[in-house]
Amino acid sequence: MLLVTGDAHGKGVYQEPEAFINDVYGQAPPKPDKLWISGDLKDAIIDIMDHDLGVLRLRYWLKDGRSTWILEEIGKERPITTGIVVNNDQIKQIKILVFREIRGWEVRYPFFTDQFKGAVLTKDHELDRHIDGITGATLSVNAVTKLARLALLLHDRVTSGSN
Amino acid sequence: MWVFIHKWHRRLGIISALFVILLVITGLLLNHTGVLQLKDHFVQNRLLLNLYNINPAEKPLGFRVEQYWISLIGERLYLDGTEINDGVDNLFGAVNQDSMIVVAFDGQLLLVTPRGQIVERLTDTQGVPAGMRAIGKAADGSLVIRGSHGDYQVNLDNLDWHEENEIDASWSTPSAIPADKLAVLLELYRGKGLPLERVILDLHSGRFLGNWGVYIIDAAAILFLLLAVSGTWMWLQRR
Repeated sequence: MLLVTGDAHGKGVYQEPEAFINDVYGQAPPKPDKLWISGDLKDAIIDIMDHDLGVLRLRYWLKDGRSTWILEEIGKERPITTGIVVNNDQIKQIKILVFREIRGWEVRYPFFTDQFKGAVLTKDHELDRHIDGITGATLSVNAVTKLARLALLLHDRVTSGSN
Repeated sequence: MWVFIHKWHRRLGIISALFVILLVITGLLLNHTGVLQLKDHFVQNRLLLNLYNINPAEKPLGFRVEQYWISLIGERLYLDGTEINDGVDNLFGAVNQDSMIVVAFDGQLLLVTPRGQIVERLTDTQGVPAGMRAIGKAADGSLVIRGSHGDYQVNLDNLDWHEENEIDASWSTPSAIPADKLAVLLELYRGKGLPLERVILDLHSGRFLGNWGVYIIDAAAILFLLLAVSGTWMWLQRR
């Protein structure tokens, strides 16, 4: 268990989502594509997130087998906007882009996000590894971990041809 | 002295019983507010809603899209009688496009089916221009957005944003919401304006009766203190 103290100073926009996507694809991002959410995909999403995403479709960016997802999940009360890059069914990068909560902003630091690098999704929709929590940031940690699992699921869906 | 204290201890005990019952019940409820989902249950009683003056702070705003109404009541966005978004500051308009209704507000485009299902939420990440302040349709039926730096013709399918200085478009403009629809919307708004938790919290703290309620609960607290002291004193005297 990692021990970090924090306060409300961690709130903010760390990187605009558009800039993140440009960085991922070397300033030449592909056009976003659409993923419709229905049937077993919807059930799998609920299994991971414990709730419906509330939209019928999501946009994503896919180029050379590498997909990028801008996903949001509420930590305690406000959504955490996260950019996630998946390649070869493994998490390549996770970056907290916008953090709006009062507590739990420590999840933006590489000591936390680097734990996800190389993580893959098991058949039970879990990560193949344990992610160390952060004292005082449990809800944010849970939210980001769920988003990592979700991104892996969505990547599999758009690259396996089952969509 | 003993008789005097015993007599007043009993009197104060009876008076305090009412407060004890009130504080115990409300305290227990508040202690389990998460399990009981008191934040998600809303008071529907009109008397209570009037007492708390639950009404939208801003004047309702409505946009007609064919036979549908997109309305902003307070901070809540409705498609006819279905709430489709909360926490909205500025509603700029709505148009129909590809069997959907596209609603522009707060830097977002909300794509929603006529039945109120949210298809997609587009933000600056998907190219929604900064300072969006109007939505409309060009003569060829394509979607047009007015941003702070110019006008954009939008293809929602591939998210192509074609920028021009000014596009001749039919802009979405607000209309007066029909009285019967507005009455229904206001009832819907009020019906989600007062969480049960707030009322129970106010009952527990006394704020339900304003400042005087707080003083009454203060007096009850002092009453409990007197009972504790007098009760302990009598017990010591009997030993």
